[in-house]
Amino acid sequence: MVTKKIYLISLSLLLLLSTASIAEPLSEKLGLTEKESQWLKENPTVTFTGDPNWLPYEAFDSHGVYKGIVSEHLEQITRTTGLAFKMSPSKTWSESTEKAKQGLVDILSETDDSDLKSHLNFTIPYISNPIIIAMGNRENYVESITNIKNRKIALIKDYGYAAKIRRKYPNIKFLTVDDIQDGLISVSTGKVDALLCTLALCSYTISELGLNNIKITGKTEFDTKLAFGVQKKSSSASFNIE
Amino acid sequence: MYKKNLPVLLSILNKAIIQITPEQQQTILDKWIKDKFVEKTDYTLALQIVAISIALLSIFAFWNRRLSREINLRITTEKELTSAEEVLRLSHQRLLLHREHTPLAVIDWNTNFEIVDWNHAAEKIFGFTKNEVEGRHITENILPESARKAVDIVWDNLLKAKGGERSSNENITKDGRIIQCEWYNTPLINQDGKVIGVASLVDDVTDRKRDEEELKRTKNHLEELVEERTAALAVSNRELESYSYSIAHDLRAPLRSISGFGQILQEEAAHKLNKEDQEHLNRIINAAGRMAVLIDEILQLARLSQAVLTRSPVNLSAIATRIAERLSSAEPQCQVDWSLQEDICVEGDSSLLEVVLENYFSNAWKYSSKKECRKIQFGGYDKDGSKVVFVKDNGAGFSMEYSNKLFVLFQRLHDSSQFEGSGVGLASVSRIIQRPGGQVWAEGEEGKGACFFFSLPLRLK
Repeated sequence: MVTKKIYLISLSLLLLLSTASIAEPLSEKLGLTEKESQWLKENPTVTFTGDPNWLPYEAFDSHGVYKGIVSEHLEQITRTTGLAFKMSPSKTWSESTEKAKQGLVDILSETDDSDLKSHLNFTIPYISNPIIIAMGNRENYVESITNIKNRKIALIKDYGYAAKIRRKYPNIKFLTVDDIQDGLISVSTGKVDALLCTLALCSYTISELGLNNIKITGKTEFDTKLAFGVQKKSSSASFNIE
Repeated sequence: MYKKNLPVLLSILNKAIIQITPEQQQTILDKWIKDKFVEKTDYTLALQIVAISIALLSIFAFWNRRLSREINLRITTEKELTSAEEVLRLSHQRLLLHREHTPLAVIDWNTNFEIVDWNHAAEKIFGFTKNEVEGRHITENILPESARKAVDIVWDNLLKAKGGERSSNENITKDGRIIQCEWYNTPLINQDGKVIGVASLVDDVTDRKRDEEELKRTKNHLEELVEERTAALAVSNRELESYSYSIAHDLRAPLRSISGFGQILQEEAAHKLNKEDQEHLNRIINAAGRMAVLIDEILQLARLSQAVLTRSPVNLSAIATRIAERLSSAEPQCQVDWSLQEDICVEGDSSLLEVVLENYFSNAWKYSSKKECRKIQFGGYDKDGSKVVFVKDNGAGFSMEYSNKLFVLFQRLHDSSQFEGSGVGLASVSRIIQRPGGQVWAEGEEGKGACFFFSLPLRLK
């Protein structure tokens, strides 16, 4: 806890410093246009939300602090641009997407295969992660999803890649689990035979839950790329604040 | 009024993203992913190998120990076996010796009742050699037709192990003699409880049986003889008694003549006789009188022996009181100290018991006549299922040395000059008491009185 606090304090200091002094010279290095630099000056803070339960990528802890791989990428962006991200913590991923749909946040941490493309413009993907097959540790290597098409295969609810997989394999009856923990525990207890999820999420959660009877048996042809979704329209929230 | 121009933000973000170097990104990823995995060495296989090795070593050690223990056990067992074999050998030898030297025939049978073995004594008893009977059925050699049925039953019981261990039957010898044999049979049973044969010991009891029967015959003969003689004796006794009765009876007539005519002579011709002749005549008359008394008593005794016994409760105390009164009134001048116990009752013949008490009291009265004060006691008590009755006096008494003569006919301990008597009274008492199984005896000391007893069973036969 102590380390966390120190970490947070230093982080906020860093943010302050970057906005105050470092931002200015960095703008040239970034190759920002006049308009862009001007925009940054006028809008030093943007609102942001993401998945509250998607470690190691992202999560809001019990205090509403945002952390994870995405969070650290945001730090890098803050460092280079001086842009501050005001967090809007959510309880669920659905709540976060809802916020994005209603324009309550400027940026949503998402994957490039998002079905929110009508609401959001997406940045270029900054990280990519293969979708793997997690099964019991007695299973052998699985070449492809079709090899296990008669087994009970689970997908996590609301994830972008899930829609992609269902589209490609319309004949396979996928089961749905609520989240990564639910999915891995279902595999561990034999409720389902396989779970399709990202490699990072899978290995992180297996380790977190201390599950010793699950292994990654194969890789799918899918991957998921992280990108930021930015509201297409101007922020009504900001408008309202004005 | 101001509106965020968000498409600008998009391009800013894109430019910032490009600035993130792969190294920076890797640092982030390392932090969030790699740290979570701790390298673990898989010791499972090593542990399995160690465990298997330990198990194998333990098995070897255990096996080794067990083996050495088993070897020791085996050595001990072999020793025990050797000594057991020695014991067995000696026992077998002893058995063989017994078998060959016993006077009993030893025969082993198989379950078909065929002879398997046959010892020397068997050869001697039945006359067949072992070779002649081996493998042969009993009916082909030693079993006569007469004993066949009985022996079949015995054999059946033996095979069912239901008895037949002892039997006695006739057998036949090689030369056709029928002999009587006692058989002691034992079924031979294997581990499963099945009868696999029978071992028999046979005793030839023909001679013994004959001797026994002879002895029995002799004994019976002797008993018959004794009965005959006893009966003859009883007859001659009865004859003798009736003879003596008739003699006594017949003697009374001449005796009456002697004493009658003697008295006539004394009354009518006394003056013609001198003093010496008169004395002779007196002696004749007195002797005839004594003889008459004797004859009377002998007749009475004979009657007592012949009389039929009646049986009823008798109050002896009442009889004793009557006798005492009579004796006292006969000699009223005498001082007598009577002590008569009351209510002494027995079962018996009332008139004969009165004769007994009359005798005892008369004797007590007679032999205490020389005392200044007579003391006569009458009493009784129960002892060993009998009623003992006594009459005690303080008279002349007698020496115990002669007590065995007291109850014998005509035997007297005192001279007639001292005390009158014929020697018949106590003999009569003895007869009367002994007939229903009672006893008579007396205790006394010379000059100090006597005590006469009789006992009668409380329950008469």
